[in-house]
Formats: sequence, structure tokens, C-alpha cells
Amino acid sequence: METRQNRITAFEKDSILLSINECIQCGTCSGSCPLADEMDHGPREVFSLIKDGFLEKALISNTIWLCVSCYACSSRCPREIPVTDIIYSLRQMAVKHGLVPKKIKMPHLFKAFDRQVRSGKRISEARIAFFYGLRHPGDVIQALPLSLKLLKRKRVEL
Amino acid sequence: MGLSYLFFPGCSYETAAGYRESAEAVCSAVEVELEEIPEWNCCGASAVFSLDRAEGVWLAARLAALAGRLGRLEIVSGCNGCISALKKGKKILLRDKGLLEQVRERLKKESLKLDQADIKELRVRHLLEVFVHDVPAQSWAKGSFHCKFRVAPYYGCLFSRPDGEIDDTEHPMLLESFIRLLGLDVVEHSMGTACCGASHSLPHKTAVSGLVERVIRGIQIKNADLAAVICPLCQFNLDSIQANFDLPPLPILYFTQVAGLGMGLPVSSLGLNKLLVPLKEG
Repeated sequence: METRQNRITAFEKDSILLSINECIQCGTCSGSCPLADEMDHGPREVFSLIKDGFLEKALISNTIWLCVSCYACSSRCPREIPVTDIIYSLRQMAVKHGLVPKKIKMPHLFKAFDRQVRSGKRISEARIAFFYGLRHPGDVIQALPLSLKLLKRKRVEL
Repeated sequence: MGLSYLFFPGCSYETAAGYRESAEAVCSAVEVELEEIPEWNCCGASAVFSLDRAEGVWLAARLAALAGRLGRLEIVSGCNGCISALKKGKKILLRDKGLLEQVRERLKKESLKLDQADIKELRVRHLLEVFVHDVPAQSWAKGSFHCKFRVAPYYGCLFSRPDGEIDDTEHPMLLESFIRLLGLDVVEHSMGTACCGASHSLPHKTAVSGLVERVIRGIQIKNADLAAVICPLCQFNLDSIQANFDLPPLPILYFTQVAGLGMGLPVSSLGLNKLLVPLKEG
């Protein structure tokens, strides 16, 4: 396991992440974010945490995993900071350093997806739902009525 | 003489509600040939990029190399997610020479190659761009315009973001242009680039329901008969999540299905029976 100091050094080498220094804390990103209401901190606050040296707090927040990747923040940022790309870098960093809290679900969906791409080059939604469902059966069970409707319309590929 | 394109269908094309059926019917009517990239792979979407940057870039690079093997510098797709992933990969490869070298080594195992110049030249386009910019406008006026639907354009979030390469990032107009080319009425509304919730719909059902409800409400308040979409994930979320709340049903059609209706193609060729929210005959 790397130390906190090592992490910050690695962080400083990443040119995308360095652009956080350009942030003027205007909040356009948080105001544009469709899921900001669900987040521990909006993107503006995450940037503030990082600038103040609380990188780890930013990495374990649900914020970086709730980003839907819509790029509204990136296209609106007055300082042209690639906010969404920074979120991707933070996700990769959190995974690499084992800083993903267990209760956060999105990484499990991403892993189910990633696993299929690596093994068979293409994905099927049904198989992703299956492997994700092994960890979160409730989410998949509540989607069963929908799955049946999709099956009836030949919209499921196994 | 018809137009011919190298086509990247993406993984959702097959299970999408009539996307393939309608795209094939319409393309054949306007003489556009879509040649599927042989041995294509998944673009990785936001999932692979979130976990491993190098792997995400590799997927985009492999697609570029497959196009290059056929001597093609243009890839057309019907999915915002695929297009976005390919463009993201292209951007990173142009910036990161070390990663490009890594990718080239890995491509060698499949006897594929990729030069920096090829990546620079590679164009990634949406099928909608082909329809509006390349297909002669009069091709769309072939139909008898026997339907008079009021159509709300919906782009989803990724169509022209982040850099506005295709169209304006906040108020794109390409789909409006297309609907007018078909002789149908455009419904103006403010939800065109609002997010559908993307892949978060399974783990974060309630939050995503809220996003979709807002979109559907914003479109219905303007009295649209249906929405035209350009991305399989948008279609899936807007179509399926309507069951979670109590609003009058709004059919969500692919722009290719709307084109088929506007041109008067046989309704049975457009895969409309696969929609969850059915289209009532207009």
C-alpha cells in the first residue's frame, strides 16, 4: 500500500489533475451536475478538498462514482477545466489505491462490464445485470418485470 | 450512386428497440450503405475508462486500427456513448506517446497497426450527421408525408460535448434540421441535452427516475406526440423508466424510425413493436 505522500506525488505528476489549480470555485460544475443532489460533495467541493490537501476524502466520496459522464460541467467551466476527465482520473486513482468504499455500487457495475469486454470483446446487457446482481440482488430483482417485457419484445441478448 | 460508410454498431444496437431494423430500412431507401467493421469490439463506454485508462484507450485504438486495415479514415456510429469513447481515446492517444507505443505493441499481436497520422486523420461521426450533411436533402422528401406527428428532438448529454465538435454544446440543432427535412413538425423544448441518467439507472433507480421524469415532463408540456432520440442508452432509459411515474405515456423513437414514418416506409419494417411505450397511429 502506498503512503499518502506517495499518492500526492503521483497526483502532482498527472497533468489533467493539475488543472484543478485553475479552479476559481464558482460552482458552475455543481450547478450543472444532474446528480449533485445525491453527492457527498458537489464537484466544486471535491476540487476544494483536493486543493486543501484532503485528497483521500475526495477519493472515498460517492461523488466521483455518481458522475454520469454527461460533460455538462466540462463544457460550461469558465476556466476550461476538464472536470469530467478529472473525475475519471480520480476513479482510476481510487481503484488503484484500494480506496473505494464497499457501499458504493457503481464500481461493481463497471467491473461486471469490464470483465465482459476483456473476455469476449463485446458485452450483453443481460450478462452485466447478472454479474452485478450477484452483489446487489435487490437491484436486479426489482428490474425483473422490466426484463420480462424486454424479453417479450426480443430485446434481450444472452 | 449511393454513399458508403464504415459502421460501428456498438453492443446495444442489436437489443435496441428497432434501431437496426429502421436504420437498415431507411438507409436502403436513401441509398446509404453501412459496412459493419469486421471483428469490432466494445467501446468500453464509461465503465472501462473509469477503472483503467490504458484499457479504455486500447479499445478505441483497436477500432481505429480495424478501420485503418480497410484503408478507411472515417467511422460512423449510431451511439453517443461509442462516439464519445472513440473521440476520447483519439484525444488521449494524440497526447500520450508512451501509451500509443504500448497500444501499437499490443496491436501487433493481431497484425494490426496504427500510426499517429492515422489517428489524427480519423473522423468519428454520428449517423445523424451523415443523414443531414451527406444525403441529398431531396432524398428525404420522397415520402407522402401521410403522418403528421409533432416530434420533440432529444440529443442526450453526449452528442456534442464536451467540445462542441459536431454542434452547439447547449442547443444543438441538427436533429431539428432533420425532422424538418422529413416534413414533420418540430416541438421546441428545453430538455434536449438534459441527461437521461445513463448506466446509473440500475444502481441508482430513484435518482435516475427523477432525471427522466423531468425530461418527459418538459417535453410533454409542449404537447409533443413523440420524442426522437439518437442514442440507445437514452432510448432505453426514457422508454423503460416511464413506468416508474405517473405521466401520460410519451413514445420514444429512434430518429431512424421517425425518418421511416416521415418517408412513408412500411411501418412493419421499422421495429416499432419493440417499443415499451407504444406509438399510437397518427
